[in-house]
Amino acid sequence: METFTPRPTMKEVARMAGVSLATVSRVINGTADVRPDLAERVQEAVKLLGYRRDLTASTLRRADRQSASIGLIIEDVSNPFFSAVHRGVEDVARPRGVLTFVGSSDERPERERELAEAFSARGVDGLVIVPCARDQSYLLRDRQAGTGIVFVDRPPRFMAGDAVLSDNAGGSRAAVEHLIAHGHRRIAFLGDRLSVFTATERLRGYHEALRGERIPELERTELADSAAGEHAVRELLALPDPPTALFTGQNLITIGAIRALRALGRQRTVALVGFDDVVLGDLVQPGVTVVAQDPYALGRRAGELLFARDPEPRSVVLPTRLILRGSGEIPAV
Amino acid sequence: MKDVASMAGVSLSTVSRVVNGSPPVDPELAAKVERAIELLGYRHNHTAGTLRRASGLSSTIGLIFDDVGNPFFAAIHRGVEEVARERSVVTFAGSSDADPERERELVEGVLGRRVDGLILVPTAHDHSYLKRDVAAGIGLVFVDRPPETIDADHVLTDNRGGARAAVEHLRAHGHERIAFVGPAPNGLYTAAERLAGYLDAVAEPLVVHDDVEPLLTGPDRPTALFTAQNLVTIEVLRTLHRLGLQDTVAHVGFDDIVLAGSIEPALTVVAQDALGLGRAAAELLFSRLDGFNGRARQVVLPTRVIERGSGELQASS
Repeated sequence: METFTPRPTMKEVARMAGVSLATVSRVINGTADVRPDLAERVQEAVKLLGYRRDLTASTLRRADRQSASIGLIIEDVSNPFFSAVHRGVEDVARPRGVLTFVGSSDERPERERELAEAFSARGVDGLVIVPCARDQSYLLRDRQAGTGIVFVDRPPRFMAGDAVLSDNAGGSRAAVEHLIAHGHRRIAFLGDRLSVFTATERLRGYHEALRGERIPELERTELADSAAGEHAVRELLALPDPPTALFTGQNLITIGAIRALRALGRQRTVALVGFDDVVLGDLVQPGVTVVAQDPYALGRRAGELLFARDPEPRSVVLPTRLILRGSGEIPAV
Repeated sequence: MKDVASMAGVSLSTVSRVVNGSPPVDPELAAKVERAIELLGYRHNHTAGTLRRASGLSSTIGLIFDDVGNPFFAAIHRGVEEVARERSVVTFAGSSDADPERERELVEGVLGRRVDGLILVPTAHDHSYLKRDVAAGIGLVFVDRPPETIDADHVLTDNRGGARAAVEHLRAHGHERIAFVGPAPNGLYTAAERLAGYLDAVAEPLVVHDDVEPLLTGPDRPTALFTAQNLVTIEVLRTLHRLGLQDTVAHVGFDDIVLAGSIEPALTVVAQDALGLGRAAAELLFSRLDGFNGRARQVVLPTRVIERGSGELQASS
């Protein structure tokens, strides 16, 4: 049975090392030179006692309020796209000794705000946010208080700020032009909720590609998960004049579309291009042609902007890349 | 808080009472304070409150696993978050990359930021350095792999049973020459357990820790493969497809994968409940923080075989 031992204090370290409290503080915080033999005694005592520097306490005392932590708000920690963004942010923060709070907004504005408040209340030095609320001006107060803020995947609204985005419209245009080049004249767009910035941008790219080609628009939006995507594809293919090609505007919708096409036995006759790569996209038959973004790079660039702390808001747009694997090269019948 | 007090025209202690919710304050004064808080945009400083409050809880926890980018760990993360969220607890998440030194740095990092508890997918073998923190009231739960040198709650998948079930499934379809493909255990618990489950059920062991291609192109090819981990499964699938053997060599993978049902043949897997692992770990942690003081508990979640085609290919004689 172990006895209760409270956290060792700096005082105990000082007593064991036989030095003053100020000396211990200097050694631990590295603020001033200490005689090597004294420093060694302090280090020894720290080790024996298992003393741990309390970063929250020093946060409060320091003028610069650096808590060495940041907060990351993404749509869903378990969506592979956002996991990769997370990893990118972490890889920039970690070498700086900064830890990352992470939370899922689940595309709910009030949840985004709650998380931002919760992270700020814990003294984070910065926030990286995939915004879903209609208005980010609630963050102005945090910025005035010195919190760095960077938006990723989507730009902020009602607030100027650094943002790192993919070229959503350009990537979508390229995808739809690719389908047109393979003879398709009936191309459906399947997209996420239009409250999501990336969904409207991708829809815009689809419209731009159709413009001038006299190709009718055929849209299904507000598809929030793979089941919704699967259902929408079944409906579209049951139309009297069904599409010969599909452009799916998000990874989960692409997964739903692949499942629907396979279930209907149409995967070799209906063309498909998806926005965002998907795991095993190279192994399904035919392989899935995608417009790939680089979510890891989005996260990294966001982290870099956060730590650079440039006073001028900057917008970084990363290119997308079309990966041909077969499904997007099926010709129109 | 001082600014709030002067704007509301009340004492500092009145503001403190309103903010902390006790003891009760005259409703009229409370309304004044709340208005001042709203106007000034005052936010109760959590860390400051933490240090003063008797409970000492910061409503933050730390979660450390191999890699946030691996879907298995991302699902554990989601499970932890779902439980923590109900209590307004927020989570530090960090990737150890299965490097013990990096794990230690992360552990020290989150504890230095005064988390109430820690959920760890352990990489290192010795966590006795955490005994003092546990004694001081830090909640500690291990997930996916058990602790070795410290007594702590832990949540595991029935790795050995799952691997055994996979091999028995293949044997039931006429396979005798079944290869194990997976990382060498090297002290890694889940790898060792899955290998042990395979050895329990197989007649003649055939174990591959690296590239499976030489075995598949060699003279005495196995008729079935058991791949012991999601990333290994994906690599082996690519190899099978490249060699055109996907309809010839039966295959069962440990861990489910998105689109595993959409490839040809669809992949049979032993699925574990990663979300459930995360949820159970968080529940154990919070029961400790709520005062449960009993012996260390172990929760083992079952696996299930999902038949999709690749594991039901019959052995060709």
